[in-house]
Amino acid sequence: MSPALEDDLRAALRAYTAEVDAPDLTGAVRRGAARRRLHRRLTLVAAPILTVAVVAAAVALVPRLTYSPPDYGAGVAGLSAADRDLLTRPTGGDLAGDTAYLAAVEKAWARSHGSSGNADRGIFDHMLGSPHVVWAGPTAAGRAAVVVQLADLRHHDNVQLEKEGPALLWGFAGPGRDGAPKIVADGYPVPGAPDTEAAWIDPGRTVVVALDRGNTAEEVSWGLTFTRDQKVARRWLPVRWDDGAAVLPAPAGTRPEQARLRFRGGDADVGNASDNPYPDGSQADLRQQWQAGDNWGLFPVGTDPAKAWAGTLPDGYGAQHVFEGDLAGWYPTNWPDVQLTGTSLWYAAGTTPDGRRLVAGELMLDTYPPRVYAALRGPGRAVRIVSGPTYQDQAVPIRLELPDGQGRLVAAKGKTFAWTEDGVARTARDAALIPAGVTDATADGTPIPPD
Amino acid sequence: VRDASEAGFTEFVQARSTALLRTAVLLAGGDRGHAEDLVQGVLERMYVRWDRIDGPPEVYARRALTHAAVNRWRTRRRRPELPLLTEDAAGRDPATVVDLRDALVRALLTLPPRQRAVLVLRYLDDLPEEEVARALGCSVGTVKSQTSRGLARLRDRSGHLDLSNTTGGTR
Repeated sequence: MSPALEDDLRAALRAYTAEVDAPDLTGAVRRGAARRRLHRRLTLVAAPILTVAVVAAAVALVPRLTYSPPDYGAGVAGLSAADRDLLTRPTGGDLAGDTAYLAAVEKAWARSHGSSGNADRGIFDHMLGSPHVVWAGPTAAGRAAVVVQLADLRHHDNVQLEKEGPALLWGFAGPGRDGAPKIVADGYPVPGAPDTEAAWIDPGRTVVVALDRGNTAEEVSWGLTFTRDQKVARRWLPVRWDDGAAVLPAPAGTRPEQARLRFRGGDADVGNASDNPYPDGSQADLRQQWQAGDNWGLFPVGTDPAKAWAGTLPDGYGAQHVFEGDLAGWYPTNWPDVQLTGTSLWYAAGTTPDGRRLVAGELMLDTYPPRVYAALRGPGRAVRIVSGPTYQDQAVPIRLELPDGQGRLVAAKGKTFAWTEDGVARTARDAALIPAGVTDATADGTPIPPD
Repeated sequence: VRDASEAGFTEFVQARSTALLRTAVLLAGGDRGHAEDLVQGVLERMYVRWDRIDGPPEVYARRALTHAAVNRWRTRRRRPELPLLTEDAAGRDPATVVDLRDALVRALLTLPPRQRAVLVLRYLDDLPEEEVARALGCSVGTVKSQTSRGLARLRDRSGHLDLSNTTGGTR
């Protein structure tokens, strides 16, 4: 390769980025880091595998067989009024009188510290006083409780604190084996994190219990709603609080990581949902069509210029930009609650029978399964967006009916599509726009299933 | 993050953010918003584990940035898009240096993410092949082949001609 090209590329890249200056990111980074810590702070407690010796030690630490009120009061300096209230107020909830259950919650709390995801932060190293169950009640998933206790938090190489000293720790108990309480999440105050704490209390992720720490969540949303007109939004429902806690049964099909609580000044997810779907920035667990290694897929729609179905775009790389450009105006007004988009590695491009430009690709919105989206744009007309599911495990995973009788977009990498049109046999590889009314379309000789 | 570490991290962010963002803009296909998200995400992860990062932070940052940018799904927080490039080069003399550089960048942004990353790390960040390989988690041989293929594609797609022959107004 000629040195001239390399020199020119070097100069071109520098010229292109010469005016790119980063804003001061330090504040945003710290706030973002606090959110990341929140994920871990309110983390799922691993299933405890305790040795007999550990169990014996834990039992020895909690010798009481019946519940007794906390042995400390409101005299701890540095706590918020809400946290002081949590430490001192009587246990709320319908199981407040079940002293055996409350004692079992305390016992489970004491035993859970070693297996907590927060254990290596040192937050349990200097516990103060005794635990206090602030709320206990029945839920659709079984009995649940919230327990709090003071701890003397100290600087640690793995923890971010507002200050050293006494602070409130909390734990959420859900139904464990044989209905015994099991601590499913715990937490501590993190700078910049919202004072709304909530956790899924059962393994099936069907019920959220929220704790009021002074900034009461007013609404809950269980996820994005996809409408037929391709709009995507969140529906917010009021949260009903009772005795300082809220029990929130999730609708069937809820994606745990999508649940959000909205409170004054912001919203937050439920910390122990499944945590970040992209652990540590990795997105390798997400499914996508036609992972193509180094190459973007390219599936030009149609091959017959006489039918005006040949790609009007120069190549698939251009299609990517057209696709994103057509959808760019769609996000703000139609997908206001979508936080993340995952964009396609493949694109189909061409022209519809009525002369509109067609570009299609995959999109993943937040953590929902990818869908195929097609953008149709005609001269002087607004872009029309249509979408449908992808059929990842099927022979023809992309099958999208276009509007206004413009046919059916199909795509399957490496397959040859064949159909008869006006008595003429047609074929296309990788992707095709099958005319409306065609009933004999096949992919590698196999009939394409209806949607 | 303790005080000393805090100061070190702040110094790193202030000193290297712009360089990282410039790399990220190209890795992200010219999407400034996406690039800022990438850089911020990398820095957030570094902040959380600042005291435990082995080796030079810049190496870690570049590796994490590249990893995030070339991952299978290109995720981004929704924010207004910035134009990828000057949209209309019509009317300008295609033989000018500016236009040819523009064509090169346009062509670069159409490359597959990994191939693009190889060229960005090699020719914007001036990393040796060994460091590019470390950043991308591949072999030096792969870097060599991807560089060669990427440059070939750039030549094809940009219609590259030797700029040194255009500066005097002749081709």
